[in-house]
Amino acid sequence: MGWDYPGAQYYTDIIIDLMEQTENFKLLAEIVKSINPKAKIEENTALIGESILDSLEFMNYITKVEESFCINISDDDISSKNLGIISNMISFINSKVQAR
Amino acid sequence: MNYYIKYIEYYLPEKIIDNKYLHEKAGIETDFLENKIGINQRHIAGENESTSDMAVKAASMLIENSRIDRESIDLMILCTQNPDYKLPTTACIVQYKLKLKNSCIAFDINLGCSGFIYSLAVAGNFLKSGMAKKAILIMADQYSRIINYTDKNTAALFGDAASAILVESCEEPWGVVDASFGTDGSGYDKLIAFNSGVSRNHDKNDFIYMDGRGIFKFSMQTIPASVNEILKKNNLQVSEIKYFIFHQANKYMLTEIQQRLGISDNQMVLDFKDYGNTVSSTIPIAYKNLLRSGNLQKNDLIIFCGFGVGLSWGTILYRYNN
Repeated sequence: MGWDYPGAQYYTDIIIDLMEQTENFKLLAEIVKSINPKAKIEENTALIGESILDSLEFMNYITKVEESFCINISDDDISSKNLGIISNMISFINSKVQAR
Repeated sequence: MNYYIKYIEYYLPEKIIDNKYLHEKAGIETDFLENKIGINQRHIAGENESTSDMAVKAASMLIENSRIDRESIDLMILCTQNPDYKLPTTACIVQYKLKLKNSCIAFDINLGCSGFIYSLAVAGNFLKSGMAKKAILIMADQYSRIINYTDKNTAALFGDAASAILVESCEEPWGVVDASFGTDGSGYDKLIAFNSGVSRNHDKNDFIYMDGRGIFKFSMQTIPASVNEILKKNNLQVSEIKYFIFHQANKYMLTEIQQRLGISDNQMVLDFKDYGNTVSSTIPIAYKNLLRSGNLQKNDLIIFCGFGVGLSWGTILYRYNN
């Protein structure tokens, strides 16, 4: 049963986006925990800045994100979009997925 | 006809670079080097010690300790990326210094961390064809000559070494059971010494450059697949392999490969703490030390897997006999 009023699609899209963001956060958190099981993650966590991951672990994290979401992440993306912060990574993944 | 590794020796130069030196030079934390990279020290060649000098030292130990008649050696393959000269090939210099006979086939192979796998397979095909009966492989590298010890990406990893391997043919089902190889030249610039050949790049220095993430990604995506492919082809499970001897790059990378393949700690050979990544010698050194440990039994299966600069990789399924 679909919603049938003006702007229904707009709200549906927002809900889907929120669900996807939640799912993406969960997946990113799982990736981080697979690398550092003791890590506590929130959306605004800075993985390097807060010493959640060291440089080798961060390299592993980026590789696993690329594999999990079937995307390529360049070195420029990492620095210019500050992908060490989880929320930035979620936005980046969404933009990459939507661009397909 | 099959071929197998009959004997191995290796040589490590006297001079040592420890983690304290690297901390002072490149600012890398010693705790990170010991626990994450897993390397405590690296041997580096003396100022006047050439690649051929190191090769001759390893090969001389091999000839002496295996008690083979040097006249019987009819193939010598030298694998190096740090030749004495751009020309002539270093194998010719080593053939002369070792006093091997003039009918001995001698040539270089320019490969890095996959070099042992390729050299073994090339020698095997000479032996199987009957063109040679006794082969010695020599792996010799001096990355210290092209490392900038203030570069955090490369300073900590590499050590110099030479190894020599005696390879012979046999009728029994021993030695190399199967081999697979791969190349992805699109990643040629992931690990490179710019300006080391005839190509000039004036924006780059003469030291080795490594795109650490590029190498890591390649290793994670290619190496488990290569190992799984050879296991599947031979109807084997990971649990049926007694030991996995990968190119001994560093602890973090190998531990991640281990996890991805589901290899137990008992099966995984990690042997780089005292010498670092010695390029094409890592697998021979690790195998020699495994042989010394006495933990191998006849018919044990081993996977050798070399990978790195190129990008290049090779995997060998091996049945231990002697």
